[in-house]
Amino acid sequence: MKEEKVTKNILEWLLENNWTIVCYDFPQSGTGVILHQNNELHTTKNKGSIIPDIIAVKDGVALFFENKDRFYQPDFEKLFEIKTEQNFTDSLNRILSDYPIIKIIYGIGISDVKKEVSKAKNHLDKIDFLISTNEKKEITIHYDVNGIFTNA
Amino acid sequence: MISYRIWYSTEGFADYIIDKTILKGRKCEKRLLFESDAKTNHFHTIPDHIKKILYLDAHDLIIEVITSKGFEPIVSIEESKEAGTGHNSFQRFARLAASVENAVPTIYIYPEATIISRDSGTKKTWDKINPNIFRAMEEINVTHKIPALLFYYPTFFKSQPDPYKAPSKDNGRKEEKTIKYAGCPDSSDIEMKKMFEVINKIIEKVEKVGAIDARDNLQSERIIRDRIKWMANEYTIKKNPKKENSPISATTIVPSVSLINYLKKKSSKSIKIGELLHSRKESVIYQIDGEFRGDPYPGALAALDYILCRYGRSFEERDKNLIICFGTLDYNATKGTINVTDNPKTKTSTIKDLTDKVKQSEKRNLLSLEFSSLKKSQIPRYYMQMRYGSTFSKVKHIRVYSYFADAIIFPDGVLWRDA
Repeated sequence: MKEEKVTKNILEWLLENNWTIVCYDFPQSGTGVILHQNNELHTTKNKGSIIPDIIAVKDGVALFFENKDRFYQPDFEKLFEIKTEQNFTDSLNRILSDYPIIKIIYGIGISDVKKEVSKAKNHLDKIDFLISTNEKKEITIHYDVNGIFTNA
Repeated sequence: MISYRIWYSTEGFADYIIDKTILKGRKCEKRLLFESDAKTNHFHTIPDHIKKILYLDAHDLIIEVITSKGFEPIVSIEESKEAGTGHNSFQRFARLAASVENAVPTIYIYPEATIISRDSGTKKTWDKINPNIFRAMEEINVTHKIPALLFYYPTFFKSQPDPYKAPSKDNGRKEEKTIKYAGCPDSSDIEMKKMFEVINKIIEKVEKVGAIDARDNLQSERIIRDRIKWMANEYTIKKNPKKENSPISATTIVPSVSLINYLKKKSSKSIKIGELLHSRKESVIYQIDGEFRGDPYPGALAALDYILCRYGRSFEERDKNLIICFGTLDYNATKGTINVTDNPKTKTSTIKDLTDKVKQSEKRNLLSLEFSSLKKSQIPRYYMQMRYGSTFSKVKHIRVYSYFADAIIFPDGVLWRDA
């Protein structure tokens, strides 16, 4: 299943669960919002910038998704860096300025392929949640350290 | 039995075009379009007649008809959400040209204006489309007699010209709400309705007289003639009579003898430059006042070919040479000399950046491998490269520059074609 479908399935699921979509992106869509590194780290235009695959908000929580059709370790590293180094806070605060946000949590959406999910589970220490989806649009929550989805 | 194959880069856009046109009632099969051999290992699986349309750059969508006689692409569609100022609106132009040069009508969806926030969102403007895109598209219409039509991506620009009052979500664009069509233009907008009518007309005509006769005669259809007239009118309305827009504003026309002297100066005074450059009295030099790079310049170079140089269907049919220059161009009309230097405000413009890109592309080349070292899955790719060499394996801007430019000049080196 292509990344486009992974992202669309998750978008539908989030909307069904009353999340508000702030922005989204998938390959070739041209819909994404570019987040730049904070000013002191910002060198040349768009260098080191990122385009989140989904940002959604509900009840003071913002979700930050990176999605793929397979396990892709650099996405885990990227989310860990954003979360721990707080190097995109200016752009994130700006894009979330219309919403009262208490907490941003970071996670991965991937295609529901056993082997890929299994590989992803070896890197849960870097993220807050791991979600997979399949052709039937079913969603499986594999990991949710904050109980955001499981307690909702 | 007629059926259709829809080649797509995003499946949602393929669904959108199928569902909103008469294709919904036809048998359709969707296929993912692999961009090029430079980016994927699957490009060789694309049929040869589609590869030919992709030789410069990949399209967003191609519709082809399948009949008992075979496969024929009948229209290609490009969709952009970019702000169309400066060179941006030309970014996809090489694709449009490649489609029409292969006798396939093309449609370009582009916003009339897009809200751009500057200074951390404190300043907002509607950045408007560069009207020269209409002029360039008119030129390909006239040159090839195959429709190249622009439709505005729906926006709030007309209904709310004040960017501070217009909905700023999606930079002022009107997009589809359903997730299936995420990122697609609002289909209820009049521009999209007109586009669907044109696509329907092309399909109906193909089904009536066959793909080849249909595309050769589409220009005479009222709905298409009206669109071409509308485009000409938009150009007239939007053009600033006092100031030329890019990319034309970034060009200098010089005598070809001055160009040839510069090529000799940068290579060898004794070298014999071939007949092609000599055969045209003047040369158009497109100046990129900075380091070597790609988008949006390849598309702009293709547009300049049609606007300033081309008189016939082949790129050989030009009345002026087309040159691209990376660096600051200094043309002394009195002495008839050309000099190219680094712009002190930008990074060094060096031909090494170009040749490094060419070398990088060679990493995709399988032809230097022994047969025994090829993976079995690489065999059909190897065979494609055996026929086409690196035609599809080089990065896009190298393909486009080497196709359209008769010469490429830098402060420290030059390339040119002899014939």
